[in-house]
Amino acid sequence: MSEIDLRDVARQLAARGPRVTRRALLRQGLSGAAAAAILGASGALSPGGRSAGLSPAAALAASSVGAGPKTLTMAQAGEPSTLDPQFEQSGIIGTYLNAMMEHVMEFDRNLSIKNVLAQTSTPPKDGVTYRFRLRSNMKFWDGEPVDAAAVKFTYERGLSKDNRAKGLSDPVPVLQGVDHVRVVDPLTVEVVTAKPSTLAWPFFCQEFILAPKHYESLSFQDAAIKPMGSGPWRFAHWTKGDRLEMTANADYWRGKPQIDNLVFRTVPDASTRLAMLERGEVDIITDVDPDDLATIRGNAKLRAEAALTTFRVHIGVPCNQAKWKDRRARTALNYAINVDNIIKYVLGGIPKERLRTPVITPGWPNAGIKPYPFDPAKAKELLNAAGFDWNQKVTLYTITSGMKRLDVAQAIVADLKKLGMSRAEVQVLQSADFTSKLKAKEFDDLYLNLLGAPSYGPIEVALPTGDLALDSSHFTDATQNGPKYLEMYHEVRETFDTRRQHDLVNQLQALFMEESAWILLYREAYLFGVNKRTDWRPTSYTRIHFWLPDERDARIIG
Amino acid sequence: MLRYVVHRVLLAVLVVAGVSIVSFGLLFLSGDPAAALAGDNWTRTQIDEFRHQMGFDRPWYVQYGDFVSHAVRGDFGTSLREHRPVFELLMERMPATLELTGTAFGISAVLGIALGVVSATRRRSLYDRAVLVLTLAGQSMPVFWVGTMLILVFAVRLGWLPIAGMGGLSHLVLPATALGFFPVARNARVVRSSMLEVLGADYVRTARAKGLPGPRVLLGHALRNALLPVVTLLALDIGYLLSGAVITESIFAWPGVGRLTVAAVLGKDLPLVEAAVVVLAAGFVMINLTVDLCYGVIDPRVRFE
Repeated sequence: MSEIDLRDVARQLAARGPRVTRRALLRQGLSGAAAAAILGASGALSPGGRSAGLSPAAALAASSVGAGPKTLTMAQAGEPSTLDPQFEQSGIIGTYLNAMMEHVMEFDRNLSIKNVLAQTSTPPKDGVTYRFRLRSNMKFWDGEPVDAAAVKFTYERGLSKDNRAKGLSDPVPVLQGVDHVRVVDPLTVEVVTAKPSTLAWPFFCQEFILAPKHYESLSFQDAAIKPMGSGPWRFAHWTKGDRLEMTANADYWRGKPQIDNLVFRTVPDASTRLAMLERGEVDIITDVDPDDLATIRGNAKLRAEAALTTFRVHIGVPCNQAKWKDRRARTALNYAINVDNIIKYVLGGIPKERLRTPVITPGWPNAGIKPYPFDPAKAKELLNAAGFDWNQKVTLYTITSGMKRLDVAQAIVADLKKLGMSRAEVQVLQSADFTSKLKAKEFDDLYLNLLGAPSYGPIEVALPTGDLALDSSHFTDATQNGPKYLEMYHEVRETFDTRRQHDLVNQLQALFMEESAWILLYREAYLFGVNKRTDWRPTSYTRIHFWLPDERDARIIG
Repeated sequence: MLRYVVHRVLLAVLVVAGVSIVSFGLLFLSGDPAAALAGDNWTRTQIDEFRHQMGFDRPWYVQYGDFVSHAVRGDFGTSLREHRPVFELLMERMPATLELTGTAFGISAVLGIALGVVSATRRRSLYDRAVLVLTLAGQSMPVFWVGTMLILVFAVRLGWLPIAGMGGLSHLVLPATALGFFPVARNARVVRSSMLEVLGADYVRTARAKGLPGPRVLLGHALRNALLPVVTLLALDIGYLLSGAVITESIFAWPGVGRLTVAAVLGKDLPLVEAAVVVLAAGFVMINLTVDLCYGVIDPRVRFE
């Protein structure tokens, strides 16, 4: 059959007229497949996709260098499920909303609290009333004023039992213990807590102020995709799973930002993000793998940035479990794990140093607490003294997301095995399952966790209590120091005297570290790849913020 | 014929129901959705209240029955994470997945058959050997590796095409090629071997002996008969393409149903997972049913009993 000329076949097929036969059906089937390809290729089947492809901001994203509107494009691994800040509290939603919405106050780059919407902020004289005088002439994008009524509306929406029954999960008013919000005059508002609580203060840096008329007029379903803020960039368009586009807010109270278009792309694959950065399709990429740093540093157009976050990576030790009930067994883990080596070799030295205490805000850590040295002999001695059964199974639960989390877990288990725990193993859990176990305090063995808190000593000591974040160590109910810790913690919550606060926070750190309910490791770092034409740096607390208090906005300089 | 069709349709319904029960059961067994969905600072009491409110404390068969009774009326419920109707969410993403899988299917069908025919008609030639190498490679390389290589070569090095995202023909080329690579290779191999078998058959020799033109012998007598096994494969390709789309969508940041479903599974968004599974399974079953029914049209020897 090799004598058959395929060109003849094509010519003769073309010359034939249409006939409705089985043969024609086969042909049409093939043609249909080809047509599907062409139709698909033209994008005709994709209404959402076409809008993403043709919108002006997106078109600019690929070629934002040069004259004309300036566009900054960032590629991240994920995206929020909603843009309603009172329905989701993930880090990723903060990334999006920090550009569009504002808080009454905000952490600056040095973790100090600065006024943003507030012109003046007054801590409570009576222990419960926080007073804010807002700046004048601030407006949401639709022209509605940013005033005391907006603050009151935001808090009441967040506290409403009806709303919470429908899935609203805003933690801020609950954590602050807000009782009610009082409008003193159009620009003065008082937030009143049910009982004295010094912890309320930094949480004002977390509650995005909403536009009352806009959010009252929308169902929760619509509010999830139609945000309204007062921030430097206005929401323009969101193609879920692909990109969210924002445009500069010309009426912004701090002035129009230099970047005209801000585009957030959702790109789950790390190597794809890196390729996009190298090619110039995006200006900033998040969640860079430490192994890719050499590629970024080797490219003259790029630079790497690291944000040492406020997340404390630690091994949670469930003190209620038989094998870890004895304090000596828990303390031994501090000596058994070579944290410095993990930082140096597994994490490439990026987290800089081992954590000494769970308190990290400058001025608050207890200077008397020193990190444990790596001393396997001491660890063995303590474990033997505690009657530790060396043949029992020891499991370290972990998730895989985060910087080299699984590698770190494996390095820890390797240290435990070297020590003599021959049945030590890593067990990987899905993120949702890990969180469920934390919430239910159900971990039956070691777990590799990280916890964050607003940067403020009295709040940071709340972490081990489970009041503020998820902890499964049972420190407060299964250790000797636990009850005393709780008592002092409640005192610090109600203490507004700074000297007394420092004294209590110091004592609390000592009590906690004595029990070794957490084996503190390091501060989680987030790595970014950045195009050098972009004048932007990540921050410790919010990580991604394009216009911090007392700074100028992020810029395109190339 | 009618009896056969009714029988197959009933079987299809059973398959979809079975798939949905299994997926529901697996999600149910994988942990407490209330704890996964609750806010980080919720107390145990709040989580218990939420569990009750959402009906997660009911037996699994009651929850499943509730889902089915609503689903048959077209109401798949509201996403627990996005707070929007799940059917709306699926339909928002479906065009992107159809665009990608449709194009990949077109590539795999047209290119696979063409390469197979060329290879068979030029047996042991350079073309044939090249196609054999290509098909061997195509079947050995996983889609994530093909995707990454395509990005490195055609987007990063040569700069001909965009790396990721949606936005017209140029954005579609790389993901569709990556996704269609494996089925192209498989279809080419099957078409080649099927063609070789048919080309040696008596009726083809007879057709040539009658003096029929080469193209008519090739396409009218040989290819038509050789295509029967390929039609089955093409139907199965749909299943492969839909599952492969999950990985391809992640690599190329393609906003399709695959990524939405994976996120829903990880986030224990039960209504969304169930709806996605039912819709995709129903689509796959329907395509297979249609193909089975087409056999009688394609090959008159096939009788439905």
